[in-house]
Amino acid sequence: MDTVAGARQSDAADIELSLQHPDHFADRYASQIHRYAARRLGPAAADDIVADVFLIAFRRRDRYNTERASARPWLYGIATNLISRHRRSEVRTFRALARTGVDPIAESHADRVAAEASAAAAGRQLAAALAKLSDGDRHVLLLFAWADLRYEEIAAALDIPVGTVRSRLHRAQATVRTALGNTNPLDTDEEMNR
Amino acid sequence: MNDLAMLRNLRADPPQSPQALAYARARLLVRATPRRRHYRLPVRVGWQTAAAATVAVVLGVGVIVATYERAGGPGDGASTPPGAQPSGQASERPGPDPAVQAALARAADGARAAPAVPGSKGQFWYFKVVYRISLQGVDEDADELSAEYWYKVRAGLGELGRIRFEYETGDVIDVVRETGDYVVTEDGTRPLGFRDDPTDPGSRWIPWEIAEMAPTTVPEMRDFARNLDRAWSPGPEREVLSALLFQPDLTPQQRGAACEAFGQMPGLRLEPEAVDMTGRHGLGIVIDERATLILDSDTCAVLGMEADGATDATVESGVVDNTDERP
Repeated sequence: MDTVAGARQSDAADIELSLQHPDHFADRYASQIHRYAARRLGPAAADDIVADVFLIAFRRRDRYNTERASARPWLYGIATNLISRHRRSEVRTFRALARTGVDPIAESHADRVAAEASAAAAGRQLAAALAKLSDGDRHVLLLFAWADLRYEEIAAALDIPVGTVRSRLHRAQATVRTALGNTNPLDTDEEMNR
Repeated sequence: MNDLAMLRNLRADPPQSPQALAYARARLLVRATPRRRHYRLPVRVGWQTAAAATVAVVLGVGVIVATYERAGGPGDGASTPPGAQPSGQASERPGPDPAVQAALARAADGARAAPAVPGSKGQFWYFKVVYRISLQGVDEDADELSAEYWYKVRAGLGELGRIRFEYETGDVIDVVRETGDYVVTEDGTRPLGFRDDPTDPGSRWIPWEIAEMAPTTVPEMRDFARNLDRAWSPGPEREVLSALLFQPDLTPQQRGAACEAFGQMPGLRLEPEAVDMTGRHGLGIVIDERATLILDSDTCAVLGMEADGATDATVESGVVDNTDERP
């Protein structure tokens, strides 16, 4: 069985199982979703986001298309919608990092390495760029960079065409690159072709 | 280092707290499972639908306020005489039952005279609820559950600080959000005979952000419920009012108004000497002949419910400072 088919069967089976035991499904993905939400909004907000993602997923489980390769995009899509409701808060933390060099999110979990990385000059410039992005562009960029979703998965998560994912990602990356003072079009990440 | 790699390094993965996942799991267990697929409580479907909509309601507080204000806000309904059919309702619907109306008007007077609501933010509402399933085929040795809930006082969605379920089989689920203490002595499945966890009482009530706007007179309360209803489709006015009765943080005046207004709703019948599963006497309000809500005849507090072979009773409640305390 190939990997995709295996994941499809496995996630479809999980959804079936969640009809009886919803916590089983949560156990499988909660860690990933929490990590992503915590990076975007901080651990406290992530607690609620994760709880809500799986509650919503459970309530909508009958709408889940079992033909989908994996439930990950579906869950990240729900998480993204919930994160959108904290837009102001998220942008505020990026602006604070850009202005002061102190990342309220990294500080909140007292991760010294992360805090130092964020406080570096490049981190401040990156944060400023992220604050400037439109919601749509930021979601695509961070789903790609922080959640490691592929184009097709991002498209499924946000319910947009793959072409839109590509254009948003291109635009977002151009904004980031400009903020970092690198305008060399040849300095593109080969990963961007994944 | 390219820009994508730098972006990946920004805010490296934060350490994951065990309580975060425990909380997510607990919330699922208490809010998702209680759909009672096995027990079918028709009247709760309305409440649960309403409860499911609370997320949208909370997040759309502004919309609701706007709707409420557009409709004239408090006082707009002063022209609606108590007991009259609200406009827009089907004329063939039965009117309010005079016995229910009178009994709940008396209970409402008691509610208004009750002491002020205890508790402040940072404290917890403690509830102990016992549940019993009496459907055919359910094992008698596994048909009861004692559940304890610690909700944050004046929190939006009945935010749980801790839950503790103790099944008749001896299995325990105990999750404390603040400390991450997490005990599950069953292996992830419900004990036989109680395959679903009960409805989380917090899912029955209207979130505090909405409830605190509730007015204190009956006509205004009915307007409030109708206007919430518009933003809360398909929950009818009656479901909004009953959900208010479950909200523990109402002021005595608000509870009195909600209680009296609820008595004016159609489809209710009075059982004056109802007895809950623990033997307490109260006002039995039979809803659409499908379920019975048992209210304290002196204070309009919810004592318990009976529906389709499942009963529950709130046997203890009060405000405490921490999730390791009981009243």
